[in-house]
This record gives sequence, structure tokens and C-alpha cells, in this order.
Amino acid sequence: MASPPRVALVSMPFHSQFRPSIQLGLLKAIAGAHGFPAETFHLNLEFADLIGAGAYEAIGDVGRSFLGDWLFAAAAFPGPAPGPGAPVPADEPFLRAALPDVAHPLEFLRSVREEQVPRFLDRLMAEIPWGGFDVVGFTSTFQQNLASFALAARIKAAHPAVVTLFGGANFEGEMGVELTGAIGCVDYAVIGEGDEAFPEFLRALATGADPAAVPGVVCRRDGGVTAVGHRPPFTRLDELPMPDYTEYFDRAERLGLLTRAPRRDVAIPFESSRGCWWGAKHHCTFCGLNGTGMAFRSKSPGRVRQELAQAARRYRSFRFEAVDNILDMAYLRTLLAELVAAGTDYEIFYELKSNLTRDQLRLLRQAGVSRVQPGIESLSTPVLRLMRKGVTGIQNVNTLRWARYYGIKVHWNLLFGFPGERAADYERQEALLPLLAHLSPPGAPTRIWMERFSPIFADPAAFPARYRRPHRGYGQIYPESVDLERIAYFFEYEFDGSVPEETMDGTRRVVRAWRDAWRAPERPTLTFRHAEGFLQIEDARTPAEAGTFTFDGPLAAIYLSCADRPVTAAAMHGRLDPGPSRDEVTGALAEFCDRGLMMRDGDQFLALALPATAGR
Amino acid sequence: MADELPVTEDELRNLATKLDEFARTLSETERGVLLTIMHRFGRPAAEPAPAVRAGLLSEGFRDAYERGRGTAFRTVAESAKGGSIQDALDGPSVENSVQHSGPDTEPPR
Ligand code: SF4
Repeated sequence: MASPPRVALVSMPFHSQFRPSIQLGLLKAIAGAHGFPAETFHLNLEFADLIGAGAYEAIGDVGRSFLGDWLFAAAAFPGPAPGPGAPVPADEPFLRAALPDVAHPLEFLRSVREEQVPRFLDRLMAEIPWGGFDVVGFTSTFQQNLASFALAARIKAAHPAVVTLFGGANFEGEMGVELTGAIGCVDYAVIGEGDEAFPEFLRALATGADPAAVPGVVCRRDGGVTAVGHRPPFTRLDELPMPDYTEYFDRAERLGLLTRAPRRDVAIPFESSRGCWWGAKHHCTFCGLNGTGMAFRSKSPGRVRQELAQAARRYRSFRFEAVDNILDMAYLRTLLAELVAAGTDYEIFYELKSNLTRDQLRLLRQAGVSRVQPGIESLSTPVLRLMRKGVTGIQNVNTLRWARYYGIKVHWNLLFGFPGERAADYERQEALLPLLAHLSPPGAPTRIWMERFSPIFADPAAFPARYRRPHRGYGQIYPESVDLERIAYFFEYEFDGSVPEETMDGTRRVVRAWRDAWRAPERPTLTFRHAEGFLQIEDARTPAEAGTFTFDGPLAAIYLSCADRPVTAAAMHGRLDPGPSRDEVTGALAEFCDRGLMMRDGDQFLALALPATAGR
Repeated sequence: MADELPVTEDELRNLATKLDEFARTLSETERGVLLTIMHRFGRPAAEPAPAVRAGLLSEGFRDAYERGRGTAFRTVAESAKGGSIQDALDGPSVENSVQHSGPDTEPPR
């Protein structure tokens, strides 16, 4: 190939329509920076427009149901895939819950699979001149495999000279090797991070060198799959170009999914770090993220600020979503403090580690962090210890408290199913939950999924399972020629020593009621007002039965002394000077706990009410 | 002797903060051991545990609770109702519960 290869980069369903693909945006910019102009195609938007934006997003959200992949299975593997009569990989109650706006979900899904998917693919083949490209790259995460294979197969059939290249989380490690070996339309795949492998691959094509000789790139050859070593995670993040999302916005506006306006209320993905500094030391037992790239690397604060400012101006949006797995704690001193000083009006989402102090949460909010996923997976310290979370239940509650106070929305979960857990741990947690009605509710309790790369998958000696097999959904979308054991990310399993489903029935009921209470016009509250030596706690966790507690002198001081963060009785006693005896303090703490105004975790105590005065 | 040292409130607060931080690094058993030692150090080992819960302080709990909450003249009651933090909040997450909840934020490959 004498001239630079012409490159198309494609994002297929079911990547969310609500945000551009950072994979596409970044790879386009990287290719351009190396002298290889690339065009991006957010074709997922076309499909969302075709089947309806609500249904599209709902299917994308239920990733582990394999619904999205199932819709494209017959198109991806016309002969060997489970055929037209193949059962939908989910039962009707699940479908009704997943697609609440669709009147007849089963009929709808069948018509999408049998009529709309073929029509969609035909249209893409007719409208896009694929033969004009030398390379078509597909990025694939979660439910993007089958739609990508379906289009790639058609492109290869119509234009055999076009080279297809795959990458993304679905091609991490062994999964990518097996998919490259088993799926005919996959010419090459990048295993792991593509920042260097992708431009080197293009250069190899341009110079006539063997692309399979590029470290991190694999292909099918001589009845096997080539592999030239593993490429270490990319560290020089500041050298990466800014992602280019222009095509995403143009397409969304052209399709009418997004109305043209001076300001776009769209979350722009940005990346300030890769890997996980916690996981590098103490890998959370259930976590399958960062398969081969756990080592933590972050961008300089100046570079992140520049990226946010440039993206806000270029895409006319002030909303951002960090794709990071965990916030770089150094940013609390640097990036976030600088954003506060700069007075920016960003709204930022971050994933972070949950043992944050009140001051840190205040800073986050002031810097514009309005939504977080702090990895609160449980409020039980013994269970958190089993999952190696490095945080206690009381610390998690405190994070929920101050996030609520500063107006930071928290996404969080209640996980169970860890070997060694005890029903009593969950009973204690269940008893605590109603006391937290004034804090943001969790999602429904979920048994942990077994994900490839997680310790519970990778270390069967430490986590012996009675059985382990690829999730049954894979069998409903892949032909028999594919080794499911090697391509699966989700596995079915059973651990000895984990609680049965029924143990969580009560918790499920409490969580449902909690979420319902938060949908009511008046949300539950628990606030305190303080004058010197005097304290009132207004308890409206059940708004219809609101009440007020009034405390004077030492009791007010005791309550306030654990209002900022968890404190031990011994430490509290030391602070109350002159004050009551230690036994009196201990007794008072027990009484506060009995009244549901405080919680206790081990020897630590935490006031549950929040200051009535906002923003301190 | 400790009780002969002039101790300021600030010094006590600093020590308490450090003790809190230190306590966080200990396991539950270690904390129990430490508390027992501190307890023993503070009084004769044979002294029985106190039978009363909060002693004199428990009086303060007796009539602490009343039904209802803040009130105001009817004309201003509406504006006095509710906490201001409530207005700053967004609705609860309605997403499906997933192991890594929040947006689909996989790093680029
Ligand atoms: S769950 Fe979060 S904190 Fe734990 S290892 Fe995974 S990314 Fe890191």
C-alpha cells in the first residue's frame, strides 16, 4: 500500500446513544496525529433512531441479558447461529421490566431481530462506500460484538480487500485471541490498549510490512492465531491527542436525536487516568475491570484542565464523564482545587474510592463533581473486608451523608454472594438501612457476577466454586464453533459458603421502599440545628410521621462530636472537656443508636443527621 | 505525670484526631485489645462495669422526643418547610443495578 491507508472507525449498537465513544474519538485523533486521516461512524445512533431511542437505551442497559447481541446473532452468523425461532434470552417478566415503554416486548424484539436488523445492515451497506476504505476498525465493549461482526461480515463479502481490525474490552486477553481465531470477518485484533499498536498497525499496512508483527496485534494464520508478545500499558497519557467527537454530534443532530442549540446538555467522556491504584495493591475480589492494565497512570492536572476547557468550547457542553476507574487522589490537591479556583461551571461524573472526608466531598462539589460512583458495594464491614474494598461500612455511610449534604448524586450498590459471608452480616445491614432513608438509595441487591480477570475467577484455589461455566447467554448468540470458555466475560458459578437468595429478601423490600420514598414529592430528611449547648434533630425520614429530638449540654456535644466523621467513644470522651465520665459517654452513644439517630460499626460511632444549614 | 502537664484543648483535640486515624489502621480485634488496655489503665482491673447506661445523661433522653417539626405563622409556613439541601438533589438512580454502576465508562482500547 503506497499511500496512507484510508481508515473508517465504527461504533455499533449497543454503545449508549447519549455520549460519544471515547474509543472512536481518541483513535481517530491518534491516527490523525500519525498522518493517517480517519473517519468515525457512530452507527449506533442510526440504530437508536431506527428502533426508538428509549428501547435502544433499555436494551443497552441490561448488558448481561445478551439481548442486544441476540438481536444481531442471526445476522452475524446466518448459518450456524441459533436460528430465527431461537428463544429470546430472557423471560417475559424480565423483558417487561427492562422495556417498560414497549407494549409487547417479545413481539417487538422478534421484529427487531428479523426485520429491522437486516434492514439496518442493508442500509449501512448501501449508504456508506466501504470499498473506499482500506481499513475498517470496530471498537467493541459489552454488547457490541455481534452487531460489529454482522456489519464486518457484510463489508468483507462485498469488498474482500478491506482489512477489518477489532479492539476494545471485548478483545482483552484470551477473549480477543479466540474471537480472532473463530470469527471469519475478524482480520486483525488489537489486544489491550491501542494507543501505540493502532498507529503502528497502520504504518505497517502503509509500508507493506507485516501488521501481525506489531506487538499487541493478532491475526489468523496457518490454522492458528499469531501473537507477538504483550505490550505493556501505555504510560505517557499527556502525549495523547484530544478525542475528536465532531462526527458524533453532527450525526446526532442530523438524525434529530439531539436538537441544535447553543448549549448541548450532553456528557462528554474524558479520560484523566487509567488502571486502578487500589486494585494494583488489593484487587477487589469481584472486579474484572483492567484485565491487563491495572497499573495506575494519570494525566497531569494542567492537561486535564486544558482538555475540559477545549472540549467545552468545541462541543458547547459543560457536562463531563470521566471514564477513569478511580479518581487520582492527588487531584484533590491539584486538578480539583484548580477547578475551584478557576470558577468553572462544569458538571462532572467520577468513579472514586469511597473513604472520603467531608472536606474532600465539599471540594469535589465545588469543583463541579455532581455525580459519583464511589464503589459503595456494601454497608457491612465484614462483607467489605471479604471483598477487599479497603473501607468500612461506617465510612461508606459517611460518604453517603456528605454527598447528600453537598448535593452530589451517588450511584451505589448492595452486593452479596462472597464466600465466607454470614447471614448475620446481612441482617445487621438490613436493620441499618431504614435509618438511612434520608440518604440516596442503592440499586437492588445483586449477587456478585463472576467476571473474567476478577480474583474470584482467576484464583479458583482461593475462591473454589462448585461449578463455573460461561454464562448461558453466550450459547444463545454464538455458533458451536466458538469456544465459549475462552470468549466469555461473564460466568455462572456457585460458591460454597455464600448466603442463599432468600437471605436478601428483607433487604430487597427495604430497598424498594427506600427508592419509592425517594420518588415521592417530599423526600425523607434527617437534619440537625445547633445553638451553643443546644441541639434539635428533626427526623422526617418518614415524612408523614416527622418528629423532633431536643438535646442539651453534653448530649448535644456528644452528638456533634461524631457528626463530621466516625469517632470512637474513647476519642470522643477525650474531646469533651470538661465532660461526663467515659461510661456516661458510652451509655449516651448507645441511647443515640437505640433511637436511630446514630450508627455504630465496631467501636466507631457516627451521627446520621445532617446540618440543616446547607453548603457549609 | 500526665495530670501535672498543662494540656490545652487544642492539644487534646489533636491527640484525639491522631487516635482516630490510628484506630482506623487496626483490625477489630486489635481495637478491642487496645480499648481493654486503655480501660484497665484508667481504673482498677477488678472494678465492675457500670450498670447504668448513660448515668445522669440518660435523663436527657427521657423527654427528648416530640411529634412534629418546625412551625411558623401560616403565611410563612410554606417557605419554612423542608431542608434546603433537599432542593439541591437529583432523583435516585433508576438504572439497573450493575456491579460497576454509573455510566458505561470503559477506558478506550
Ligand atoms: S472495583 Fe474499583 S477499586 Fe476495586 S479494583 Fe476494581 S476498579 Fe479498583
